[in-house]
Amino acid sequence: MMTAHNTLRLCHTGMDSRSLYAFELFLSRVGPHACQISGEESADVAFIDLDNEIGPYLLEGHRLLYPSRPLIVSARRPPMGTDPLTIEVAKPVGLSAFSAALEQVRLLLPGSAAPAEPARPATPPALDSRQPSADPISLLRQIEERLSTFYVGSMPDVDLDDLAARSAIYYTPEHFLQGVIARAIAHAREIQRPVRIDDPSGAALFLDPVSGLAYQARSANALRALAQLPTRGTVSLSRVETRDAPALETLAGRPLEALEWDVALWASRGRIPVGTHLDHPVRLLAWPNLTRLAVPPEAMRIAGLWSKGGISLRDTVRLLGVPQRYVFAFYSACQALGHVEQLSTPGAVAVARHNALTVGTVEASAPPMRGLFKRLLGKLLGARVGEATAG
Amino acid sequence: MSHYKIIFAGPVGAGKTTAVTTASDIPPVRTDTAASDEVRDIKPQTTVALDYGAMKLGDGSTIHLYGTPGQERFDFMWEILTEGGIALVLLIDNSRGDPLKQLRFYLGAFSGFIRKTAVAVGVTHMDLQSSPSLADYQAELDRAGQPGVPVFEVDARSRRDVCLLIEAVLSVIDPVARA
Repeated sequence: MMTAHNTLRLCHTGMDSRSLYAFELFLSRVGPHACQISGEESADVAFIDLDNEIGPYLLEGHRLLYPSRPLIVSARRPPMGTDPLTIEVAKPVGLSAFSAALEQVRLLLPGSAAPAEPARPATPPALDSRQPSADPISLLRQIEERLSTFYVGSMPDVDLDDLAARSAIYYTPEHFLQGVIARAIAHAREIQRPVRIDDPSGAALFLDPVSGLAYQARSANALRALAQLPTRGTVSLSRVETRDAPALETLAGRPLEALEWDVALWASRGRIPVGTHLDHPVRLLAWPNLTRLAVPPEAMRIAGLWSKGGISLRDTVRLLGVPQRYVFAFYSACQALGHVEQLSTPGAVAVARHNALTVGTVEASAPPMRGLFKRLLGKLLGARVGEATAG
Repeated sequence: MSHYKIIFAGPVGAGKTTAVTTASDIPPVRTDTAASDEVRDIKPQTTVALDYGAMKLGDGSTIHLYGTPGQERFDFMWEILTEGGIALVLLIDNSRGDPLKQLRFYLGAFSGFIRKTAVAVGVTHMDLQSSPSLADYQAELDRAGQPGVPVFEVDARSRRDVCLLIEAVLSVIDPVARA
């Protein structure tokens, strides 16, 4: 982590190449060691232009993903928000105003003399690899947890027996980019032509179910921000026309399935589609292709449990001892790809209830090789997380 | 001393030797020889007895990785190698022959071992040949009475891919176990 005397690592989001060039020129004049552009994961501070068409989305999305990160936002008319970690700078942004904002950021960062920021209960613990007593496996778990906020957010567990609190665990996929993409794919199949999805800035995605490819005209950050919040009618779909060919030629395709998976995870943010029953058993129809998709935390264990059938979402959380958001996000993504179903027949529900009664006995009857498996899984986690952090 | 083994099986050219090499923490022991039969059309060298590698765990224990010879005439080795094994990783080459037939064959050949442990299927060379799809493999597994088996697209040269396959098969055996 940077200290108050080091160069700040600053990430930006939502800038086109022209704006970025101008911004880099501007930064070079702020001071040689004041800050440097960095990747989003490693940044000390993020800069967001609120006047961008999707600026508000980017702000909310970034705040959801990095709840404790200072942000500098610029706008012609700054909104005068109350978030103590968000520093507003009015446009046109001058050197002195931006330098002052950077100084405020330094005070907000750990290691400064500033008071500690308010506690945010669902935020994963900050990594501290300097602790000599840190167990390598728990350190790996912490890294995985930090990385996981990118996909599953940081929603805390709720009391599932409290009807009012429980409403927080549901979302409506149709209200998000996830639902638009599902409709777009169905439409493309019906008309047997690729379709495009537009956001307020123009073409954002081109989808071709025949080739199984998606073409993304937005950065990963912008797409994530777009996917995390309800679209509220700002996104539309239409069929691809010949005039789209030049734009398409400049874009690289990626598997449509991977796009659907990511977008479902981002929309879910650790919640489940409305209508999902917490006590009906989940049947895993097929494992998601986890070597080619983002692997949410604990996905393997959850899939392994569901592959045996007869386990509800509530019992999955209880049996595996993992945060609800891990189970709910994985379920939502699997459902988006058609890999899971819930069984609601009286017999299936009865079996799930029976399983629930025996849940407490599973740990007691641990297989003899559990200790070996734990050690081996630690080794495998190291290989996986090590590659993710390197990437 | 306990002798824990993970077995890599599958037809010639599916990537067993490569997968064992990729996952191993030690230089692998190979028993390759020049192919002298129809295998020569697939690759110049082939495994005749076994491939051996090992994963060293933090507490000093070892997981032994065994790759079986792919040719059916060496099938007498399969039973020997699986003795004491804890899991099966089955690799199928999607670019040659009839991959689903190969899947059926190996599920049958290792059915006793799979009943006692679990299997994960890694489909290789999907970049060369995308059909059959993973859904086709899943349907074949369902027909064979093996629902819930992990099936992933795999590049045997990728340590991440091979480690994810192993993680998946362990999760089927004991999902409660956690690193």
